[in-house]
Amino acid sequence: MHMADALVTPAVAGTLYAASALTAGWSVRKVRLEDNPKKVPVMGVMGAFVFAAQMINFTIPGTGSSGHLCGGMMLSALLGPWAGFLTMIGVLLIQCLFFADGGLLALGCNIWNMAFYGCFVGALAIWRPMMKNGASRGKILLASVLGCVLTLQMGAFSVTLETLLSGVTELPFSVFVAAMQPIHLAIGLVEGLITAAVLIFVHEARPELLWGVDKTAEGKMSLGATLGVLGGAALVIGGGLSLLASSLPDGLEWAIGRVAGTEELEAAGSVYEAAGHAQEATSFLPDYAFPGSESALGTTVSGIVGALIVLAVLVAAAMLFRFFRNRKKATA
Amino acid sequence: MSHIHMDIENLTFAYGAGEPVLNGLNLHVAEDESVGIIGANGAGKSTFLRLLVGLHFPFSGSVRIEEIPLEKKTLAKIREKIGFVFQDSDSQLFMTTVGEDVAFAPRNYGLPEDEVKKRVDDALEKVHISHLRDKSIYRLSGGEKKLASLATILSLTPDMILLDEPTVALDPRNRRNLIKVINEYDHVKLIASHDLDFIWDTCARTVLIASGKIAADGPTEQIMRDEALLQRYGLESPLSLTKR
Amino acid sequence: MSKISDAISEIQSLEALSRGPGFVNRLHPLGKLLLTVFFIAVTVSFPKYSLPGLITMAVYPAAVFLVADLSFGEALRRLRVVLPLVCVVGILNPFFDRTPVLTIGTLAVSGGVLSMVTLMVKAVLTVLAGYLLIATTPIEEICRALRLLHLPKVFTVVVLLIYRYVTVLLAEARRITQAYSLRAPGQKGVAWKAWGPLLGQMLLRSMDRAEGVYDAMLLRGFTGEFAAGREAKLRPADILWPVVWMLILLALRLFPVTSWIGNLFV
Repeated sequence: MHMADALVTPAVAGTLYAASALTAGWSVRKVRLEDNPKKVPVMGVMGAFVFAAQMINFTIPGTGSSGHLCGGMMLSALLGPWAGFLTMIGVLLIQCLFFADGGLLALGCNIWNMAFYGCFVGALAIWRPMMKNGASRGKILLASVLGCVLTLQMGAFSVTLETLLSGVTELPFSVFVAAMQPIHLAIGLVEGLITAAVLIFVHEARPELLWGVDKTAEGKMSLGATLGVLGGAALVIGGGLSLLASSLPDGLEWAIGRVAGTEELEAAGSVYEAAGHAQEATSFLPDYAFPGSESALGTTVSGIVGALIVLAVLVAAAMLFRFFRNRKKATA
Repeated sequence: MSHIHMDIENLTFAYGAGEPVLNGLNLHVAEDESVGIIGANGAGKSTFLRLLVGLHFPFSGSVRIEEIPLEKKTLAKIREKIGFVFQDSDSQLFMTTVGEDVAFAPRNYGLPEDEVKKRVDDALEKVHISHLRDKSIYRLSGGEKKLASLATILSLTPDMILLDEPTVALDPRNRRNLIKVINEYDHVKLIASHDLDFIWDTCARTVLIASGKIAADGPTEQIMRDEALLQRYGLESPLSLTKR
Repeated sequence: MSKISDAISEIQSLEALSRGPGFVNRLHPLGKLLLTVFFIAVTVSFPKYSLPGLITMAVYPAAVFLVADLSFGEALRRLRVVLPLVCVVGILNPFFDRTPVLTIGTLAVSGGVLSMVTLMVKAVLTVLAGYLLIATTPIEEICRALRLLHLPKVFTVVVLLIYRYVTVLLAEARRITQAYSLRAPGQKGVAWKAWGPLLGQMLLRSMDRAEGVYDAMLLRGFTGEFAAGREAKLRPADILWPVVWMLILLALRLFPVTSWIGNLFV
């Protein structure tokens, strides 16, 4: 679910970069406050571990397909959300640079969609409240599955929003969401189970490695905390879904149409107008900042002819360049 | 007789509340001495070496290195004098290239950048791997990694080096090369190893550790030829001696 | 699991390329990083029907491929990662947007087709640009550039450590999965009963390794802060290269160059 550079506009990418950078700044401060020099090598090695572990295929029983480990949730359960977030950024940066997984411009989006939800929602809203009174197999299983499902849903929804706001697709909002969310529900379930399996193993072998677990407590299921978390999760999921089903789609489609400049809608809600203006003001090279360029560049036959000529010249120049260099190498 | 370089009295150490790993160990090492440390698995060799560079506190007894007592507040000074080569080169080499890794320690000790460069040059030169400076660590062979590990600690120009199982996973040629490099280095050396042939080739003196104490101490030749002694402590004579 | 082996060899080949002696390799990393981000931003900023203008952007990757003497095929192989999502997003455009926006002779091209092709071209160009950066710039140089942009040291150090241990742990993951599949013939992945122990063991070993790394750092004077490395001198090319390219790209974005050229011939 890595966003590609091609799917975002600079405005969307910039906004999410800013949000991710702010969170990263806060995380750096929190990690520094801990003043634990050992944290640095542990973050590095655990980041590499997540990277390598995500390459291993785990067979999903009853199906032919396979799933992988959920990095954000697992790193936070070991390092805490702040160090986990920074480590995930490092993992995403290396994936983007070395494997073209995501892209440099979309990195901010990917950090937000995967690291932010996974680390902060997963660890602070679910893991910590549930582990407050000690850990147990059942609680780890529940927290991992719930955390992975919830954070993946949020991530997938963000991917949808970011893509639609960037105006690169004609997919209607409802179709896109209907495609993304159920797939990620299944993925989240599997990732949650794999993550739970690892964390339960760690809990039984070296419980002191888990973050946010009260070591003195018995590890009994605290009914209050569990119900609270379950209720909260249900509220978020249910509320989100019902919102989607009712009012939001039209509004979003309207906003997206406005940004992409494809639809002309008369009814101008003031909120959307404001949002549009805000985007206009903050966007770097926005889509419509080059007046007249659309007609001049986009849709004329001469434009197409010109582009073909540019391509031909490029190819010819490349071939000549290679030819002469190879000859120089051969004679040298 | 040269003055005492390292002076260890009645050293006792246990992990947490467990059985003591080192139990009343005494050892005196003079300047320019090379000492091989042998003993069966679990005898306390690694723990002993790691303790000397301050990786295990608290212990009882006293450790003095060039008259400086080993305490938490003298650690920076002691670690500048003692270089420690880990058994696992991949843990020791944590930077991305050889040059960067060798420069890590001098930079941390706040040396100016031209001095750092000189230290790196010298250290690489000493172990004959100047050509590997810009090479990425994971492209190195096992033997090259071991030499690079050695260079990373030589860049602090220590008076003494400790090596923990240096020949594990080295092929014969790399092993021979390491022997050559180590013998060229004329400061105090403490080498813990199961590879008795390696000790034979690098150390004039050998101590045998068993149950956290020194069980035997003497010229390497004398210890290695004492088959009864070696057998009693679960060791076997070096191949180079039994072949004949 | 050849996926792991592929990843290892991918890193190895990029590593070797990035440490090459070429002109682009020697340029200051900050200029290269900023230029790459600028290129990607300009490329994706083209409106969804602006295919001709978008194509002029190919000037940059084409030139760098030539100057740096890199393999085009290698770079295109990297597209396999991003193309699936891009395809999912773009492939239905022709069905939703049927307005003809362009007629070539008697052939009418709908907006959806045009925007789909534009999206694909954007994907290709942005992936190529990323490849050109990493194939000419070692990771510690990229981190040096990030430091110059005032990213905190703790972050760049963690990135370097992740990079350093990714190959070590990938090799370990390969050994583990190979050992697993030797004893579980015919299984494609790891069965659920082994999920926890297999990954958990690897995790605990990694934690132990982190302890070892920490010890090795301590022994060499690590106190929680990383001392800074050398600062190479700026050469004129370090500044000229990114600035000139940015001007060229900006000009191509602002002016309808393709139409001018086309008008000469049509």
